[in-house]
Amino acid sequence: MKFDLDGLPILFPYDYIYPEQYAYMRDMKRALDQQGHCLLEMPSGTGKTVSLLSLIVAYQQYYPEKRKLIYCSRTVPEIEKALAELQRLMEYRKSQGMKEKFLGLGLTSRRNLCVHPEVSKAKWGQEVDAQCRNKTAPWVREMHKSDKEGEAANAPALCNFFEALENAEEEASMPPGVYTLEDIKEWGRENGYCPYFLSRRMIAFANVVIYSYHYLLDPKVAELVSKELSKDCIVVFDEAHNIDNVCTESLSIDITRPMLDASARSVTALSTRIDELKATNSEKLLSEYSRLVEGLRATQESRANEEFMNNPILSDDMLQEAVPGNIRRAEHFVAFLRRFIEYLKTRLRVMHVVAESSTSFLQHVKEITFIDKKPLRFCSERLGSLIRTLELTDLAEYRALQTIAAFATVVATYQKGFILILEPYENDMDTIPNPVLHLSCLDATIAIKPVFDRFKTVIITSGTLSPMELYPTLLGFTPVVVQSYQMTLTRSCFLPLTITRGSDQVAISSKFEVRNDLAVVRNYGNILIEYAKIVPDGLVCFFPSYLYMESIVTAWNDLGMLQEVLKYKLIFIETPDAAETSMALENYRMACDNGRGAVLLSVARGKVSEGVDFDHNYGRAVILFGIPYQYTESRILKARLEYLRDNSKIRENDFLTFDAMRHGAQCVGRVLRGKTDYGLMVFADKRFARADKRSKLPKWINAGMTEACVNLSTDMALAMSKKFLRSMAQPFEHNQLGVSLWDEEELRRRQEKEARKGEVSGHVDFGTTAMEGVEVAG
Amino acid sequence: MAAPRLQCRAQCKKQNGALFFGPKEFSWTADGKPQPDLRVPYTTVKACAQNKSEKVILKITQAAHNGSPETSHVFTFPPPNAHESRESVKAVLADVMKENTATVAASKDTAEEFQIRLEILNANAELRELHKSLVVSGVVSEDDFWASRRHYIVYQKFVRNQRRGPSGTIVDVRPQQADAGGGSAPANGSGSDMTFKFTDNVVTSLLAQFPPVRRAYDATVATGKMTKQEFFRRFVESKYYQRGRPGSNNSSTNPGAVASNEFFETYENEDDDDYALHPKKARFERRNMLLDLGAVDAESGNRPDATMRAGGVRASLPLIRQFNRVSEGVLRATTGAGAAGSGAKRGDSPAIGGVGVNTAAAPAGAKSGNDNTNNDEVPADTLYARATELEDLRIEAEADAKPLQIGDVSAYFHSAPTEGRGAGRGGDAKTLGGQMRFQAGVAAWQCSLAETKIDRAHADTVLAQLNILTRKRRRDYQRATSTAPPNKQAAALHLGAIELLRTFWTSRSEASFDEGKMAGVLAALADVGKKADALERADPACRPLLQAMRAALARAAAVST
Repeated sequence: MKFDLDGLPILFPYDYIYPEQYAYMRDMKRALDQQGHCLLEMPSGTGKTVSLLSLIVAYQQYYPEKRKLIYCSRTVPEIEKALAELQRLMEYRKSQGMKEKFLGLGLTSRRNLCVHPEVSKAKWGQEVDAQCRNKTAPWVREMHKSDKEGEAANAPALCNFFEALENAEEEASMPPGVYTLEDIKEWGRENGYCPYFLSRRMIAFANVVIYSYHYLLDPKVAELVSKELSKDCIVVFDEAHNIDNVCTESLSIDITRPMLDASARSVTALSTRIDELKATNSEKLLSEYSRLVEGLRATQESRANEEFMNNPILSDDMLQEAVPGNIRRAEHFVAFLRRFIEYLKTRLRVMHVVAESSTSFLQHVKEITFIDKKPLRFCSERLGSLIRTLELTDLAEYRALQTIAAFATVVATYQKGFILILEPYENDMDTIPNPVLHLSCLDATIAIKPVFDRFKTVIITSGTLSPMELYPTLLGFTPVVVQSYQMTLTRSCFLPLTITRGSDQVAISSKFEVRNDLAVVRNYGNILIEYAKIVPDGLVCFFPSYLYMESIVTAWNDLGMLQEVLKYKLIFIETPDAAETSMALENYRMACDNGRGAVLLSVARGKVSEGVDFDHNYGRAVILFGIPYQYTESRILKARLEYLRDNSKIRENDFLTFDAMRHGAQCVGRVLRGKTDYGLMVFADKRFARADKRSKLPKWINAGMTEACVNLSTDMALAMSKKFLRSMAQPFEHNQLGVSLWDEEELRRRQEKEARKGEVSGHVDFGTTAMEGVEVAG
Repeated sequence: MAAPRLQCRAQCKKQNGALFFGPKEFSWTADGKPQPDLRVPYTTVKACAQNKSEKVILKITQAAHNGSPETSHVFTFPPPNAHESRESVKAVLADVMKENTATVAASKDTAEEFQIRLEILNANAELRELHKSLVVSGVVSEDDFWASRRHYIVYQKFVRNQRRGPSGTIVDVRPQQADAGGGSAPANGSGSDMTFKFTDNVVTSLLAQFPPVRRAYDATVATGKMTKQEFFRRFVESKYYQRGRPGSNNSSTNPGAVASNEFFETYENEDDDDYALHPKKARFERRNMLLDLGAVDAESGNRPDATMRAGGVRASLPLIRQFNRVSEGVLRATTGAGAAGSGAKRGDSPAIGGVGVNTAAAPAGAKSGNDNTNNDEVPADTLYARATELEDLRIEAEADAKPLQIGDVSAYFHSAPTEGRGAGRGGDAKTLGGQMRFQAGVAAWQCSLAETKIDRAHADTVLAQLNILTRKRRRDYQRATSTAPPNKQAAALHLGAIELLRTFWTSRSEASFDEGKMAGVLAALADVGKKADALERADPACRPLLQAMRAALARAAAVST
């Protein structure tokens, strides 16, 4: 359909539109007009992505600025889906007679894009990366080009796809269109270009770029990929309910003893290489030295001109200085690294838990090793420069050393918002030490600040962002629009139920003290068995942690309960291995398709809960066994809570509950796609009945929760579920039009009505359901 | 006419002529004649045979059709390129016969199909009647009769072939008191002897649960190197049975256990370590990125805390894998290993029921039902497009016309007499009038609730009217249900007529227009007409039914003349 939104013609690739989609677009347009950030919560499965893309593409094509869209999503499946939506939209626009030269593409890791016959076979992403770098590093190519006898033979073979791309002319580009990951691989294969580097190069020319958070938030990656993006880009973080964790994770680093050993080896290798180079050709080292005196001035200049995005691990003051003298010479730097690694090794020998701030850590470093803060800050840059100078081929061997260097840089750059925790044992009960030094970022604003600073409009959206007041604080930004939408429904297609006790009236909870009680385990098992009996096709269960899932599976098996479940449905369980779990998932879906029906046991916050949808027959019910709280004994979490309390005035409990509920909501939200779909959401924990927990669920879920279904025993919940499933299974013939579905006519009518009212604020009149929303003055 | 597939010279009945292979039939025309002397539709070609003598001869057998018996035609190919001609003719006929076997084989009177037909007829009295009156009397051929009822046969076949799938349960073997018979094996317990009973069911389940045990079983018991008893004694001693059993003495001190474990170890390979966090064989072919959990872009940050590290409870990993394996086995046994195996390359993952149980693929009917949901052959991009499509935002496409399936034929006739009364139209007119009046009344009505006066008399009249209506409705209902059942004869006649008409029209549209068959059908139709006349005189109630039938008969008659 085609409609006009405050003077902006929008092409929407469907015949109807949901009222909330309209409202969503409208609010987003306001934010774009005002060039401000916004925070939008839109119910799962109501076509968030397609509305977002329709609006932004329309906006981009209509106005002369042609603001580029940078769409970030969490997982590769999400990227694939967004690309599919974009493809649909552009096809529709084309069918409506729009002649646009449009390029949309996705970017993901080498593992997912590599077409090299050998490299692409590697199982792990890191292997692919390393092998690829070995074939594409500039000095390796230089070696081949100069064609020196012997040297070229030792060097790894080049990648033809990459070479073809490098040799291609600067103007050479790909035909316009939307390329899914598969498309770009195919195109690359046909034309002999490397899809990975091709898509990286094409970012500059693309109208829409879809990639994962890391390409913008992880400083190491962002430096390579995203720093040249222009200021007026529209940045979208979709599925952003977990964005603060992504931010903190991107600056957190773990150091273990094997890593230190590997780095020590790398340092030795470095020094041998330096000696060799010195003996044969010391010119290179000399030129490097003078380059380092120049410092990072070039970078600084381009940053001052606002050409590049800031990098949180390369702060402004660093750019104005030359690389410190004591690490300028290669052999000095190597000695410096060796000393630092030795220091870390001695630190790891401590047999008790240590938590300290970066300041105290640096102080201690200085006392023991006389290493100053300043050279540490340049560590990462300096190592990169050295690797380039030494023309190292097998970079995989230096990964550990690079991590150490990054650690040094981060720890020396930030005095606030970080903590160092040394844990000598993996578990507190262990007796064999396996020390880990965590450098943990506590402040999500550090990583995301450059993004907010650089881009005028950043849109943060997800199906579950409640309570929304928290996000501006956590991320440190001021949104111009904050809005949460309810789901307009002709029939209530989802039923949230809270089971607080078993049929025997024993309260159920995943609380640590009671979770392994026989009564609780049995009651949980009974819930599973009973739901396996009544739910058609797919039933998905989420547990708060792997630990709990694994132990309860054993307990259920001992009680013979899983045997009982097997009578009704097949059982698939998430395992530690991603590939294995993917196969289990595929089998699960097959069992749902062919009518056999299956139960999937997985973990909230686990891999399955983040990426996979359980719409339609793949999930007629979701059971949350317990509240997915984080492990509160975790020292990192404790430190973060403390930091949030002191700096952001967020109480520990509030944050914990908020975090648990957003993950819980994320799990249950995966059952819905569209309004003809239906699903049960079962919250099995007595604590869900409390108002403070419920209030943190997204509004649209809360709206479906009636008082009658918040405090149920298993048998009562079953009766309600049966009734619900029976009524939902009837053919759905109600006329949704006008209530939860608008056609072009209806939309125009409503717009006119609104215009008559002279309403200026963004509130849309919503059929029968009133619209609530929080507004923040911009 | 379409270009001929092949044209060549050939002798038949000692006359020179030309063979001409058209799109639907081949014909032979003697030299100098305008019309072919012989026409053989491809569908009737049954076989061809050649000789080894000097004369290049090909004998083509034409199957019995439309009452004419099986015949053979012998063609002799004249010298210049006799062999080549014959070869090309044979090639064409081979194609034709292949098609025939594909389409005809289904309707061949194989023993099974015959059985099925008999079953259907026995179960359905009306069909039996019809069959008797039409097929047994020879008006319609058996094949024609069933051609329009294929769905019965398909369904019946499906029902017959439907087998109980393997049980998905994980069977647990527990020691029993002594004196168990047959397939039991004593095991050296601590002190007293224990007896285990391994039924076929148990064996199947166990082999599915433990791939190494299966390999060992295949290598030893299946080849006769070891008795079942011996094998399962070892099994009970081994870690496969003992693990996860609290209080079991599966220690290295027990020599039996050690030996048994060693026995199974020879059949283990590196993939069988159920305790491994990342089994080597686990590979997911990335056709569907939506399910590929390994496709993560850059992982960084602190490692998760102890509770969120998968595989923390090592002891439960074999159990988890066991469930996944058993479920997968059940799934594959029902969907056919091919479909399931294509996605997950899991070398030797077992299908449950490999032993003793027939794992024949599901019947064709069931398979075709799954086709649209089977994601295996769908290209990835289509899959993503499908996963993101919001169907309810599309205007629903008008459904294609579907044939009317009347489940209960008697109900169909039930409604006939009431329609005959012609009540429908009057009713429509009445409601229309009522609506108009209501509309008129409402147009003048004004909402002034304050002045509303409720007159009792009005209410009473309304109630009284309602009473009358209710009573009337009840009476009508009783009358409707008490109407006499429709004339059985008329119904049978009607059914017969439908069948004849169907045969009539289909045989007309066929290429192989068969005069003799047509005449038979027409005669039968005329007969039906006469019977209808007689019936109508006897029972005027069935007139509407017969009238419709007569109209159809008239059309058929008009066309045929």
